[in-house]
Amino acid sequence: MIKRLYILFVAALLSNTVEAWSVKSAFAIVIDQPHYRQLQPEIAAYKAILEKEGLKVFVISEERSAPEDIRNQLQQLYKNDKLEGAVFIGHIPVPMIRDAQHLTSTFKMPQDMDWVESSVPSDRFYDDFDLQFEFIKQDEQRELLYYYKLLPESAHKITMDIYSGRIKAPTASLEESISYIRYYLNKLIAERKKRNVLSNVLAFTAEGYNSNALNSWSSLILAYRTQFADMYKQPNQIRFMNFRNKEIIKPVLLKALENKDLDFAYLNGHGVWNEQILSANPEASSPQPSMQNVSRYVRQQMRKTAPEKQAERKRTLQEQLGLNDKWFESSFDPVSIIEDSLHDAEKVISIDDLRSSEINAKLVYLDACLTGSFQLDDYLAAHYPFGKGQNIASIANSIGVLQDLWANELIGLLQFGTRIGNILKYTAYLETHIFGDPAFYFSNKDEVSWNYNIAHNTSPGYWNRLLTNNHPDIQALALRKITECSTRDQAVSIIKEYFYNSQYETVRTECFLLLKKLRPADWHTIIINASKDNFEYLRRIAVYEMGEIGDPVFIIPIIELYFQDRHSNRTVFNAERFILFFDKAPVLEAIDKVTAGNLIFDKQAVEDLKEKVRKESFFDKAYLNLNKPETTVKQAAFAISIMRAYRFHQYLPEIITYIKANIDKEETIAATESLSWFDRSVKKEDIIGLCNEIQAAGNASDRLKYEAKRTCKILTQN
Amino acid sequence: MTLYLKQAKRSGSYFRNAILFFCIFSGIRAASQTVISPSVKSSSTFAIVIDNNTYEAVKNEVAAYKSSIEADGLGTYIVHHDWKNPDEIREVLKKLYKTPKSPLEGAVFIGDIPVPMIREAQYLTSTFKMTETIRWDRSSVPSDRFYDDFDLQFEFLKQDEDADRKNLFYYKIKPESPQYIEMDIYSARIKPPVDDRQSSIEQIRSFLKKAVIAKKENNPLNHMIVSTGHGYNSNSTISWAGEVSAMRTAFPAMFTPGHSIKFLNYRNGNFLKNFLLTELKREELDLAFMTGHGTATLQLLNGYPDVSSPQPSMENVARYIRSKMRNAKESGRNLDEVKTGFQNSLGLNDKWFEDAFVPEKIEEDSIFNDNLDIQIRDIKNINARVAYINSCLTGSFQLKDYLAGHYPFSDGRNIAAFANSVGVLQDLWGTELLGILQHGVRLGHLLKKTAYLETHILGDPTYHFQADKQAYYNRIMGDPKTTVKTWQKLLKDGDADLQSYALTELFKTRPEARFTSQLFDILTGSPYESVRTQAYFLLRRYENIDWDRLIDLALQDNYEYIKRKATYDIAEKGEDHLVENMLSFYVNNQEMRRVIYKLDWSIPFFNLQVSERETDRLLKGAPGNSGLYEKLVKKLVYEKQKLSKMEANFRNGKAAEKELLSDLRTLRAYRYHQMVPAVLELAADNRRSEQVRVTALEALSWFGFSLHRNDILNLCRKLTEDADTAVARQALKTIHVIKDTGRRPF
Repeated sequence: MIKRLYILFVAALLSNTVEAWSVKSAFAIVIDQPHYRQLQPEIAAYKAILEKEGLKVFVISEERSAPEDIRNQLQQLYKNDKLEGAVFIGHIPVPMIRDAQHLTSTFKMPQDMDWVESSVPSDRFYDDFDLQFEFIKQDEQRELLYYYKLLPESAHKITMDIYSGRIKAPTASLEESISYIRYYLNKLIAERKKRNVLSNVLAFTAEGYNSNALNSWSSLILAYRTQFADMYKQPNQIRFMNFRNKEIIKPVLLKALENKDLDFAYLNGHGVWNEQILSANPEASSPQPSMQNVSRYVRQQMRKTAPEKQAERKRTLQEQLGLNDKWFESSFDPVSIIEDSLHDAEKVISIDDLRSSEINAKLVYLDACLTGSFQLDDYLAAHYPFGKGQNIASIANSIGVLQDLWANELIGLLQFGTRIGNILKYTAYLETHIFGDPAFYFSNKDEVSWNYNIAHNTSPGYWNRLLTNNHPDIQALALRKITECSTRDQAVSIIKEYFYNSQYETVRTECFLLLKKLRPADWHTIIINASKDNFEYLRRIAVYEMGEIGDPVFIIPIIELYFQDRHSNRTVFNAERFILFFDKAPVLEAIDKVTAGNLIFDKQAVEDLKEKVRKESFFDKAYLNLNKPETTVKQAAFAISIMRAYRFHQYLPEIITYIKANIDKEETIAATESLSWFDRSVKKEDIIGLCNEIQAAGNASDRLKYEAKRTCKILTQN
Repeated sequence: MTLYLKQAKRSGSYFRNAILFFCIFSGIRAASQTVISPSVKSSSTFAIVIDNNTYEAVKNEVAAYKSSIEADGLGTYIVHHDWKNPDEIREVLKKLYKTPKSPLEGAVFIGDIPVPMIREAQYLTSTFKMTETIRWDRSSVPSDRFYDDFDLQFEFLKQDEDADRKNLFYYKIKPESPQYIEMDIYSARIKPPVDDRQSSIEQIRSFLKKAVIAKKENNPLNHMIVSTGHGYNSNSTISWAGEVSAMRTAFPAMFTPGHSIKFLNYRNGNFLKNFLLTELKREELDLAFMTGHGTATLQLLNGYPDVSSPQPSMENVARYIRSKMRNAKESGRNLDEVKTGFQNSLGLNDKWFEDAFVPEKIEEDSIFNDNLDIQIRDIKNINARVAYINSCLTGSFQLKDYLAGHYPFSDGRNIAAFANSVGVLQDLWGTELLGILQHGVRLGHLLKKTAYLETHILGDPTYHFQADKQAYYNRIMGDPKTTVKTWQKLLKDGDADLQSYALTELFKTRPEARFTSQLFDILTGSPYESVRTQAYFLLRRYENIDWDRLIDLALQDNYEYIKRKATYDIAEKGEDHLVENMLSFYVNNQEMRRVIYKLDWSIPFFNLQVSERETDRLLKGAPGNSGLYEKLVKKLVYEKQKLSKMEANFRNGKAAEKELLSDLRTLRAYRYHQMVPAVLELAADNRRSEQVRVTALEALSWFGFSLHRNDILNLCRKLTEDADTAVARQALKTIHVIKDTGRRPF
């Protein structure tokens, strides 16, 4: 398959790189030959810059290659040459990962859907060598896409060995791609020659995220207050913005992104491959603006309706909403159609908007779904680095992402000359990617040795010393490193100390996430304590964890949190969801117990929650009926598929009984897969037992046994 | 009296002081106050001022309260009397304050204590501007600054004639008085929100018992809430975020495990009231800082829900329709016509009108509306030890019943509420120095540094949370002899609000040039929002400050509040060269809803020709700014017409007096600098009526930072010798008010 493979290694010639050379960390530029042939001077210049920064740079260029070949090359360089990162330029195969949705933040699309959509485009294939994959096929139409599945015996968590980034132009045409990349590399080279200290930060929050909870937004405000403490001092600038600040926020945001002084922009909101969604219809309470919103809805509904059904639709809308003819009159008026369409366009940033803007924010983090869908020929995130402005890189996701993830983990490290790849390395899910130069960093002193240490220093002493640094993200990174290079007991002891005593909310959160991996004996107590933390985000993920585990010991704390935190809409939203994963009776008892001593002003709230819990839901019925003879295969399959997203621990016995009773049937495969999502469940031993039983069962199909093995591996690793 | 003699003897060296007072006041013995001296020595002292009737009824509780304060290291007087007027009290307090060895640091007024109603001093409030021709009990400001700021000079006007309001005493401020607040002592009121004497006595009794118990609690400030109601600061989330950040640095410990700080906002739910009252009743809650609109009987929290989807939008519209229909019925209008009008304008069929008069729906709507706000009847069992109600009017203690009074006098553990007796400015710096409370500083010390004419503590001003160095901080803050070195040390070692406090003290004594430079360094270098804000407020007190630099730095500051305050001051100055700065800020910071609101308000105050020119230069043809450009041009055209009419009116010797007075009064809130020359002419014109000239001069007193300031002062100096004594008096007052502009935060 490999037609030609070059590994080019050019020694640095400049005398002032001697010191840097002693660092000997390596970086790989992976580029396909058609691009490389046209871009040699630009690649050489880029390489020279990296070398000047003390990196040993390898250029890997292939005429045509499979992902495994690239992966093997990188792995060799990692083993032998201290490779710290790589960039993929041009037409580098895109690994499309399957059977690994548990490595994403939330992606759960059924894999029987279209493969391009139900697989996860991910360069973790290239940068995490512990993951083990099996090649499935190359896409029949899109030759860059290679499908792989994650093997049962693989590691089942992401621990990137190197960082990576993509320089992949948003076009299918080779010619255009070369031209885009040439433009980008020239811009990159020019920008990287400048000294640019991080001094200007923008954080934007769009509509519809995290239940639009103001207190979730305050988690960002509070975390940044310490993560970017220096930005608050003059002449540095830090600016927050959200969809509520103006009815049409788009021009304000675009103008802010065009600011030449802007270094880093964190943009959070919903997204699709070609749009960032900023606003919805304006929030209103007074009559006229309310009617404007209703009228927009009405017109939209009418336009969506087939002509023959319009009269009926109008009648229904008028009945439901209590309207006369007024708002229907302009539904098909061309002027009104254009106006509405312009209004809709004002609510998003589109690819066209990015084409016509000059985005000067050097680094943009798109904490949104799908904008980094680099498996497609065109995708929004690419238009940041390939656009007209000074942008060097965007960070974006190739698929949908969890709203409650912590995109700003370690982000303050940007201030200290940390290569953006080195932040990605510690924060990425399967879907998180850098588009642009992953070795880019904002200027600081000692960047070279700092990045070397991040990549290669495994001395616990070094990282312990860094704990005395008073920056929360340096402490957080040090704690990460201590976890990697100390004994488990040492790590647990240090991390617990910081979890309980740190003044920084982000350090406590980092500790929580590390302890989640280390699982000390008192892990459940730690979760309970986290649910009482002042940092809304930590409370929020603590509740998540309670839901994932399902230990009855969490019932009282969730109820306590619910009644103490009703103003934190997102936490309450999560608490209401997760409390349903516990048996009803103890939950009802807990509600009485918790509220008995509390002076809750609106007693109705107590009754409302009890009612919510008491009610036999659609889900309850599905599981209670699962093993009844009248339940159809389709109904059972649906009930089981729900388990992938909802951790109904209390119904695991029903699922297990179902699987045991149907071990020779096809539908148990999906059922067994759904149990792989219970990797933290308090009942996971029962699942492991079941999986062992299946693997030993004579009447189980090979596919079922495979699924049981896979589930078992996931559960035993986590 | 017996008690007095016993305690006076026990107090040793204090005996002489006590006798001294006794002698002074014993001239008319029946009418004199009884002063019971402190039983302990302390570097400063406190006074419990109480009326005889109440004292007789709660003597034991007062004694216990006194002992509890003294046990906390603060010598305490009891002064009781059958008070005839506020002057009697002020006189006693002034004397106690002047006691050299242990001057008075604060006082509390218990029971039936005359209420000073201050007039002609609205610039000492944060924003109150009611025309004083309105009923006096409404257009005067109930204020204990009469009792706690001894430099202010007042002239007695009258006692209220109404039998129900005999405790109100009207005063006006004298022209030669200092025209800013710098409290000498702190004060508070223990005045139950009840009508009848017996209930008042009972409530005072139980409050004092509670206050004594609270003093014995070991209760550090470790649980607090900050809440924000609907309609405040343009509902700006950027303003809110700024406050959140500022709290993060002012109360760093509160964000760590074992503590709690919760931020409540009307956006958290349709009925914030449920969450807020649950919090206020929480046993462990120490401090509740609540911002929102208010009246004497309400804390307003929510409006109708902010929604965008169809059904909830229609529910809002339906509620509106039903209330309008009911109003129409009450006022006897033709309901069919009203209905048709709404159906046409809002595009509705009959659906939302059908149940407007259905009793169940009326009841449901009434409950809904009730749940939008905290009503007096909701305030029961409030356990938050200290409540700060940053709202209008809730502290209207001149009334028999007023909302804030229900906090300390509810059955809960609340000890004090900070509240305002009249309306307050939304943009005042409500959290100023709040962080000092976590160091065990007495509540009164916070009030003393931050109060406007309307700001009061209802409850015990000596209450403080427990903290390691509480005695030290209370001593240095209470003792006027605290040295510069001590403040310098505090500035170096203290946390954000201790530093901020130290700055206010150092300002009193540090040489202007050196301190100016230090304050600029702090404004550019301090990591703390509150310290930088304090530096800004102190810098603007100096007359010879480099305003351009100050404004530039403030507009660049990362704390939204400082930017916001700077836009206030830009508007106050009105100089042409600020227009560019202001408009470019306006164009580039559109997300800052509140600042933009303020700028929208202020842009017309400037030279409109310059504004037009700059608007064209910055916005005409600029991509993406066409909407802004059109909005500004329209505004400027409108304002130009309005102002040219106003100016013509000022210059028209035959203008109708009523209209003229109205236009002149407009200038008290709207700083139309371009109108000043015309108003100066008018004020100087002795053919005009006395009322017009006095009103003009009064209006000009609001232009203390204006580019026309010197012209105003020059004219006023001339007019101090005007034949018309009323004009001369107002001219003198305007001079003083203008000179002290910087000393007033707004």
